[in-house]
Amino acid sequence: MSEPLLQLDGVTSGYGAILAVRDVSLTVNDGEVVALLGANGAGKSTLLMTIAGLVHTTSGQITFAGQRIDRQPPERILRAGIALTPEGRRVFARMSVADNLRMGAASRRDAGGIAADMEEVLELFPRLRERLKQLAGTLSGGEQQMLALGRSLMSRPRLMLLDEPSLGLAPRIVAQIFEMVQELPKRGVTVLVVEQNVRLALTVATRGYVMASGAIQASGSAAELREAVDVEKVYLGTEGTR
Amino acid sequence: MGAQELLQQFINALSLGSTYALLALGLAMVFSVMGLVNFAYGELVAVTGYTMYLLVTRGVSWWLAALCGIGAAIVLSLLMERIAFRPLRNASFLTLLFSSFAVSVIIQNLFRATVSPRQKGVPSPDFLSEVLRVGPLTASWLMVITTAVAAASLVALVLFLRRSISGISMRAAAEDFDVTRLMGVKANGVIALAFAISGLLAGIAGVLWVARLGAVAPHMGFVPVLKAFIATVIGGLGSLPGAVFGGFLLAFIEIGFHVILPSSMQPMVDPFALLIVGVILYFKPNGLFGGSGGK
Repeated sequence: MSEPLLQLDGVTSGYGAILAVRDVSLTVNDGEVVALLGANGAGKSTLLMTIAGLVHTTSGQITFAGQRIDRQPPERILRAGIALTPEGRRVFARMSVADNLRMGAASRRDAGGIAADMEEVLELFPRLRERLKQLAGTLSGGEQQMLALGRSLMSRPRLMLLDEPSLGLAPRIVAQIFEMVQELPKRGVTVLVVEQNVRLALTVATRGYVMASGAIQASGSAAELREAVDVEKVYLGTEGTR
Repeated sequence: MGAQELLQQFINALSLGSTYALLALGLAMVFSVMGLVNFAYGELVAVTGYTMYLLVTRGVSWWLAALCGIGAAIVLSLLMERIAFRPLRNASFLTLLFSSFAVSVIIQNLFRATVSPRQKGVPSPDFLSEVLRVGPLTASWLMVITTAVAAASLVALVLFLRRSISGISMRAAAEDFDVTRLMGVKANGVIALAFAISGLLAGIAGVLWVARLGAVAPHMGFVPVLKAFIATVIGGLGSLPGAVFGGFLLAFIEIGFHVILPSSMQPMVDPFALLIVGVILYFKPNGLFGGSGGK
């Protein structure tokens, strides 16, 4: 087996003195969809921001496609091929949908390629085409999530980090978005997705990791983790993390 | 007061307001991307004036001197960012503010030490003070040029911010700096660009300012930065349309008091104008375009 696309070795990071991520090691292989599960405050979002460079590691190594990327600025990491779709979508509310998508391609200078990718994103999310000139802040939550995903795709990433793409969305929209997430590997995009909706995450993911208190507590194939969640539900009387 | 007088004062306010709007935009530009109120901004106006003074008194044409003055403001603005503000990138609002005061004082004293502590004349081309008559209305060429240059600059800036990827990146950075970096935009690049544009606008406004005053002095940057600050606060700190609107509104308030106050009370124009600004902020603490909180 070839070396993993993304590899974390003993990564510790956090804000100031608070270490939200402790000694995390994980791998994501090319073409996989990997789920990162865990309760609120487990450190999942901080871990994604650490990979994307918004939070610095205090120790450990992050390797992407054979290159060390820890302690690099976010703009460098994006250019290396990692796009983070942040929690809460964070679209540029006072800018049009079209400008948001153009921002996704801000690191690129190939006008022709950008136009082609824009067309592709709009085919993927026809709703966005209808609202191209509208301000992103006026879109519904589901449309904003589609825009955030489209914006990330515009950088032509090799790896997408998705932070809670289902947050606050209607079930029908969530299903639509996860359907698209599942298709990403066919477009050559590998996925690491943070999700509180465990059942949903494990239907699209091939493997998963479970985080608690900043550390990895369990890992395994989607089937193994599904079983573990059911076990937890039965024996501990909890719904797990929802 | 007749309709004609009213129209005349309207033209005066338009000309003054367009200078204020340019000044305010330059200040707001930097604030919107890095949360810094750059009080050394007035020194960019001053450096434009001093560059013009040094060149014009050595026989360089006024127009060429004006271009060099604008260039000097851009260079100084970029130097300020690199030397004084970049090392403090993640510092608090107050730290940045005090740093900008320090830069302001240092540059003012450089003018005192290297040129002169006194006011120095920068003769403007004669035709600028010639009067243009349209029917019963009069305007000096300077007023016409000021308004035209300011309007052209505003249009160019709007096109830049809407059409070019650099401009779109600046708007994005003003909204959410971290996410803009996640799009691959270099933090240093977008901030340096904001300072360059800030310097360009201060330089253009500086040329117009010097043409009006006909002189330079070490403390000459104080009034422009004060007007720019008031205008951006009225409009809502960080809002670019707010800065433009605030600039025009401030000019109209000032000219308004200038018209209605008797000549013995003319020194009270600025205090009265500030009173109105205070009233506006009492009702809209975040400024007219500032929304309800934060940026």
